Amino acid sequence: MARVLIIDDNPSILTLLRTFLEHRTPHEVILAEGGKEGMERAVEDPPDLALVDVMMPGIDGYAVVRQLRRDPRTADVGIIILTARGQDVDHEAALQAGADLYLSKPVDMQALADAIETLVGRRNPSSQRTLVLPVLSLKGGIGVTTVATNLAVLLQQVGSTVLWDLSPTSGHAALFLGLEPKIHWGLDLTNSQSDSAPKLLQHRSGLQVLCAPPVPGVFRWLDAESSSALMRQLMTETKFIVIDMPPILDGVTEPLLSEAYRLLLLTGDDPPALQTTLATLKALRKLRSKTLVVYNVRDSNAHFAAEALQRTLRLSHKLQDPVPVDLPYDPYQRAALKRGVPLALARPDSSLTRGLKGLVQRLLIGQT
Amino acid sequence: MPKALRDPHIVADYFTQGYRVSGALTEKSRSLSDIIYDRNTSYLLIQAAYLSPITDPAKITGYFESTTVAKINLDFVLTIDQKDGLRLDQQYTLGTLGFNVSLIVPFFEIRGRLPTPGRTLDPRVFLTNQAGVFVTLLDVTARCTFSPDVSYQGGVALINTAKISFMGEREAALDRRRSL
Repeated sequence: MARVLIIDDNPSILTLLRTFLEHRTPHEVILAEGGKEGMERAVEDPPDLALVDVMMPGIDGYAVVRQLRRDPRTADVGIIILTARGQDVDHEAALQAGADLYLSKPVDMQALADAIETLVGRRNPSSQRTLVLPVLSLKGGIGVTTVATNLAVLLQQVGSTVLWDLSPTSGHAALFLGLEPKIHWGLDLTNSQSDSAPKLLQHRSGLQVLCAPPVPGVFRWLDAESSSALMRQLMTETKFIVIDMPPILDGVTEPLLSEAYRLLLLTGDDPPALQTTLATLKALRKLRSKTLVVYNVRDSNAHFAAEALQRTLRLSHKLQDPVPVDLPYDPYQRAALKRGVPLALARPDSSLTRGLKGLVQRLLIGQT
Repeated sequence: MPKALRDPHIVADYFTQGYRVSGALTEKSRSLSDIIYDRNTSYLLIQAAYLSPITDPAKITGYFESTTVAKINLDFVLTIDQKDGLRLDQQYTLGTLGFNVSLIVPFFEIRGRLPTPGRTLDPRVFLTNQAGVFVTLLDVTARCTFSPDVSYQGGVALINTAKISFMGEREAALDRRRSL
């Protein structure tokens, strides 16, 4: 349990946050009305974490954060800035002042809870856990492997990452990375020593890859026991596990999805893709709170706007976080695939890479 | 339990004379756009207003507990959340089509989607006959003339028509409409 100090000049916001945190999290909440009172309380009895509003009369949130960082008694406090000023420059200013994370108002409560857990976990290394990120579409051709591969490459720049190609019929993650899948999870299944570490390919980016068997039908498909054993072994020394999910919901894939920190559900702009997405959301309603719908634009003539998708999701599924992440069409993706170099490495400034970087940021701080 | 922590007031950024003023509207029952288009008042009442120069938008140089803004002198207003900036009737009628346009107002180039009906856009006709006192632009990026690395994004911008000195349709928009 952590002690969370909330500094805001608005009493109704303070009450609302206290109610939420006391009901939804195990943390102790301390309230301070305004920057001056907040700094006094922080120095008197330093909290583990402070939520600081920016726009406060007298001493604004940036000044509070700078002061907390300067004082040796509060220099290590985790700080989340909450700001109604939601521009990029405001976010940069929050981080420059010394905040660990920022959230724009209106703040999604789940995102706030996630951000608090992230910072509490950062302060207490024993509570750090591997973040499992399955990328799924039950309709083929939506770009699951493209997104999973590039996402894994970007996450590797943050911490050690494993990309797990779970395809039962010749997966393509290795191809996307220019690797030859000489070793794969099919070999691990035939290995009688089930406790031995899975065989991973090393990509030049540092990313480790658990490939799928390249030839279909030669190796048996995973069962629930073997997949969970593989997952346990992968989780021992890895910060992120990105799973390139096959378009299957069964006794193997569903337990892996339930392990997810966030489930990235890919959708496209054609009616079958949308229909499949809605049906998948219905089938995975228990995982609704951690499902992020990702709209992957694969065509320069795509006509389906992300806003329309959002409206559809809002109407048909009362998702806690219905806002889809929008990955723009990228004309260089085809060339990157031919070269076997993920776009995230080949063209760091491409539109898809920029979209994925936004997704990574959202995943890491629980916010867009 | 609410799913989002929201200030009950509409918070927006008001741009005028090279300044950014962030503040909350005193009204709760109407959208920003409803108030902007209200011909019965020439002023907006803003509380907890924070002042920043547009070239250093994160630097808070002033605070006013309550302030009045003359609508006629505003360059434009920006809201992050689209529904905060749309009139009630616009929330149901704007759709997803429109023209990608670029506008120039003092100190800013503003790009966004102009949600107006029709297959073609004639800026002169639009500004003369169709635009009201303020033009509504969606999915907006406003780039500061003197600091091109400083840009502001928002769901809606309400732009003072009298301050628009240039308006053009962007080429990509033409291609998109032809394909529809």
